Amino acid sequence: MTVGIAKADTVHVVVSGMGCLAGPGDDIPAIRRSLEETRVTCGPPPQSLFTTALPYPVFAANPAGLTTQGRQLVEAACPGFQANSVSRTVLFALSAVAEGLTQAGIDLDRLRSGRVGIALGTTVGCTFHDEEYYIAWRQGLAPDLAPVRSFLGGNVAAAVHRILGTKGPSVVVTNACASGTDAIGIARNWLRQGHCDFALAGGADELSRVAYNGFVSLMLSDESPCRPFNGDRQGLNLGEGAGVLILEREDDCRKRHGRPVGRILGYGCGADAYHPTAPHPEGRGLQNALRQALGEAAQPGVPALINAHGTGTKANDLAETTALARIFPGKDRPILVSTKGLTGHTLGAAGGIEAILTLVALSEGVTPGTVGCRDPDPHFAYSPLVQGITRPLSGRWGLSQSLAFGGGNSALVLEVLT
Amino acid sequence: MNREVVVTAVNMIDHLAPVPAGLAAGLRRADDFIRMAVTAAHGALFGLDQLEPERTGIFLGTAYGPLETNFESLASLIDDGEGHISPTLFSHSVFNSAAGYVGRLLNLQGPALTITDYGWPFLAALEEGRVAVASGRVARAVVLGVETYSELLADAYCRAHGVVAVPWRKAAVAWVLAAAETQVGVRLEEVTVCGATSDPADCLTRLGEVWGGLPSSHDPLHPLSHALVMTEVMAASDQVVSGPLAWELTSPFGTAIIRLKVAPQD
Repeated sequence: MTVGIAKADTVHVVVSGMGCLAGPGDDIPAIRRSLEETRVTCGPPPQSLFTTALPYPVFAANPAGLTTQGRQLVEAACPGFQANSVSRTVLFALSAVAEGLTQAGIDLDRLRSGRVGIALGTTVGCTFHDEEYYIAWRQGLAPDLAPVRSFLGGNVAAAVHRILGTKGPSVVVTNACASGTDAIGIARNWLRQGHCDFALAGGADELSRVAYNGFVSLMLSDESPCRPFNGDRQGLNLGEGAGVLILEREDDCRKRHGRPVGRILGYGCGADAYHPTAPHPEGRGLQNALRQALGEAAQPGVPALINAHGTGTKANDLAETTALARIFPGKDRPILVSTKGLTGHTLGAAGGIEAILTLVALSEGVTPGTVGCRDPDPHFAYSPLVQGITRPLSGRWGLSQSLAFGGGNSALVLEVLT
Repeated sequence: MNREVVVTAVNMIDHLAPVPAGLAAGLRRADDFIRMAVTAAHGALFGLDQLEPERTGIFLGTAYGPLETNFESLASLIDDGEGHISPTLFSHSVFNSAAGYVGRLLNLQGPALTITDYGWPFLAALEEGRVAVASGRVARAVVLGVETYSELLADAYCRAHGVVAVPWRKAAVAWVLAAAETQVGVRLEEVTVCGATSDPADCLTRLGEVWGGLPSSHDPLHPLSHALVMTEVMAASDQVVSGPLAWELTSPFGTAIIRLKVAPQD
């Protein structure tokens, strides 16, 4: 089915399931518990990933890549599947998909009976970083091609399709740190256009030595646990994981007696057109993205919660709070938090994970403050909720937003239904 | 909102294309991937009416992105040591760096999306651009297809397939889309891409890829071939008899349908 754009604008897209894993845990309840308990799990990179003499901590996720639910899904979908034939990014994505499908009440037969759109964001997951192969090739040797085959098979959206045995549109969104948010926006559009019946959307990313060193070289990493929005913040900590939403048209979901947990009310995306790595000081592109998303959502009042990008870098947090102060100039401002003090910056996965944490907080009607932020930067025009304070949420809808290298910015307006 | 979408301009370059004079300074540190994206977009937009920057979006599709810079970045880490990886190489190895440069140097502030797909990446980007214009989210979309491949990938391909050379060529295409009510051009009525389960290597070898309604490629097929041939057809669209055009692509890795309509000449 392909529907016209005019009709597409009126199609409601709902979240019928969510799955998430990251440093603090293998599923949403575990991550939420860590947030409530302020349990910060960062440490040196696991030796199974890479060794380093540098002091910057990371938030490493499940060492095996596949959670128990993920393994069960893969064994059912693809008997004989070898986990070492794909990247950790793909395994993380599958684990999050498994949790999401379970919550949505969608089994493999039902999934395979429809057209499945897969839009997943990643950053590290689309790169080739097998150093052993590269060094051998550079020396003029002819190393075994297995790492190249793994790279070719590692397009995360195509790999998930292949392993689940599903058909439908697929893209990997490589918009750096905004990838996961944009992937959800793209999948939302696919459903509104009638390109698919279900969509698996969000992001997945893994830790790598190249990215770890890249952020150190750019002087964007913190030697301590990161402190988003804090006055003495020094930078980010990298993390890894995945966050995937199961999306459907609302009518279809209700017809199959599914129980939607949330709704995508708006999506916006805007470019800074300013600098290769630094955000526009006033968050120009973010302001455009927010206006688009809020305009689409057309909700009265202000959101109950903003889950910020909030990396803990000097420039990001300043640009983001400046932009938000322009969008919400009144005294009745939404509560602002960042969850990266708990998950680290999971790059292409961040948008997916943070959209989920936004919906979870809205569903519970309460949000903890920003882990790592005790004394907000006094120069900010918009103050975040600090660590140690928990606030009730006064509404059912909120914002999740992402900023990226290259000046990309994107925002989602999300409404909780449960 | 349901606006019909037209293709108002197209451009196609290879890696030898000169950088426009006014952009040379801004591109002095850029790699081939970024340089070709900016040059192709600049050429496509050249001579078109100015539009509000925040209403012009960038939609870039690529199979392999700046893979050569990915390896240079890795080399910098290996050679220069921990914590000393070149910041420029690292930032340019991020796939959306090219879209960022296009936005910055051409002052385009609308949505900027980079999409990676091994099958038909340009078509994936084209559909996102089409929907953005049709829905009114942007007034104009610059849709790009860019490939630079890499020596490492070429070596692996040759060894895997027992050949001495690869069919790939570094190139970029750019199409500019706008609403039919404001601009004239070939109507872009439908772009549908549907993936299928296949061996990942199929997207590299392109074995079994068949085009319906399109001229044959000059080169053996590679992930940008479809975009290059479609751009040639569009560039010559004033010589095409008016009426509908339908292009159907089939392959082990999926199917794609593109429907266009050439307006009658005045």
